Amino acid sequence: MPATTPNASADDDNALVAAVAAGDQVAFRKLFARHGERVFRYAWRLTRDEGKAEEVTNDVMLEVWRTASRFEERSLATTWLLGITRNLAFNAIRRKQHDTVDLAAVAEPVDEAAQAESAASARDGAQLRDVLRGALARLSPEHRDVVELTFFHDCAYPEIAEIVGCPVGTVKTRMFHAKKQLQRLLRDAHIDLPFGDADVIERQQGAQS
Amino acid sequence: MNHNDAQALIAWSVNDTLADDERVGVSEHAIGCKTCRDDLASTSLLAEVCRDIDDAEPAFDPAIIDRAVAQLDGVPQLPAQRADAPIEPVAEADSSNVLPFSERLKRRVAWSATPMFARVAIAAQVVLVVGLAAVVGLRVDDAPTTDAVYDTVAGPAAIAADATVVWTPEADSGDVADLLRAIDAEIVGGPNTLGMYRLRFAGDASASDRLAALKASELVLYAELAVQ
Repeated sequence: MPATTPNASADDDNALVAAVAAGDQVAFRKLFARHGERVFRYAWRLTRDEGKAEEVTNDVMLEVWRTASRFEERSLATTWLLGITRNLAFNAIRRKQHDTVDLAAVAEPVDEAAQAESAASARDGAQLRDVLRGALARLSPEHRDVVELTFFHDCAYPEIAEIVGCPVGTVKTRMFHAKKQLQRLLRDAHIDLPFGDADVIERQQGAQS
Repeated sequence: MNHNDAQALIAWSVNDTLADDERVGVSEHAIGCKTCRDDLASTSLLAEVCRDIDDAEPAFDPAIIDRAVAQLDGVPQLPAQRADAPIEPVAEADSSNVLPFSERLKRRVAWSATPMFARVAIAAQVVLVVGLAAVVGLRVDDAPTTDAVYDTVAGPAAIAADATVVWTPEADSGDVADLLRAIDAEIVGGPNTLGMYRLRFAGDASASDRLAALKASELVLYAELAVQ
């Protein structure tokens, strides 16, 4: 479910950001009444930590207030917001990594034995979804990021390239590797979910080099 | 569309954000390709899982917005990047609506909100800076020693500067760094005892444009091109 008002028009968003740049706190409230949940959910899905997600959301709002005058409408306001969120969330992840454990710990631990046990019945909808959700949580933040931006935020791949700050080819490659990694994790749980042709990326990379 | 191109676009075919020609290309290819049809089905399931908000996911608390709003007064807003952008909105492009320079200057430095002692200090500083600039200007012909007027971080062999600037007492280092980035400049010396910094410009933009940007900034009390 996209976490924003589906009819929110880009023009309205741009007008709100322009008003925020002029110091309008009412416009600021409207902007985040519209997009605050989207920002928070993106931050949570990257950090997997409620406290950090709230902290990142707060920092995103203050950064938007501070830099609204620099938004030049070359991209959608939502793309700009998600880009800020991504940067601050990854900073929070790095700080967390510094303070505590490695990035892998950001992903939720999965009980592999329990997964294997449930594999036989996993083909019925609910359980398959649970296993897939668990596998998704084990992706690296960079790979999970592209998957979430695509399916939770419904971003087009050029938009993701803008948010992530990389070429569109890299976005496609990350998606492919994410799906390949998911396929491997599911196979470890004795579930075969076909995610396309595993050799395509290798072939494409070989052709490019 | 060939198989490799279709494979690379399947995720965005599922979220329906492809351009028309790409969408049609993937659909037509998938009709005859079982691998891509299976991939579309698996990717659709992945999309559903991503869109689900499960019980473990915390709810968004709108009070976060209230807490952020309560902090806004303490967060200065950056000025617009364009040096020629108006600081104050003007209703019409009619010259009768344009504020006089003295009024715009007052607003830029928030003069009326500045305490009296600070006004006196700033005024004294401006007088000293202008006086110093005049002295430096008068001595330029006979002075390879011009640079010695400044106390630079780099010492007597300081790097040649393109401009000199005095920041307002309210300017914080983050805002100054943003302004310097915007005009592609760096601090190469200072401050001297008058609070004057020396800047060097990188890139090809004209020095006069960058000087104008500095002078237009509310962070800057005084700015001039350096005497070469």
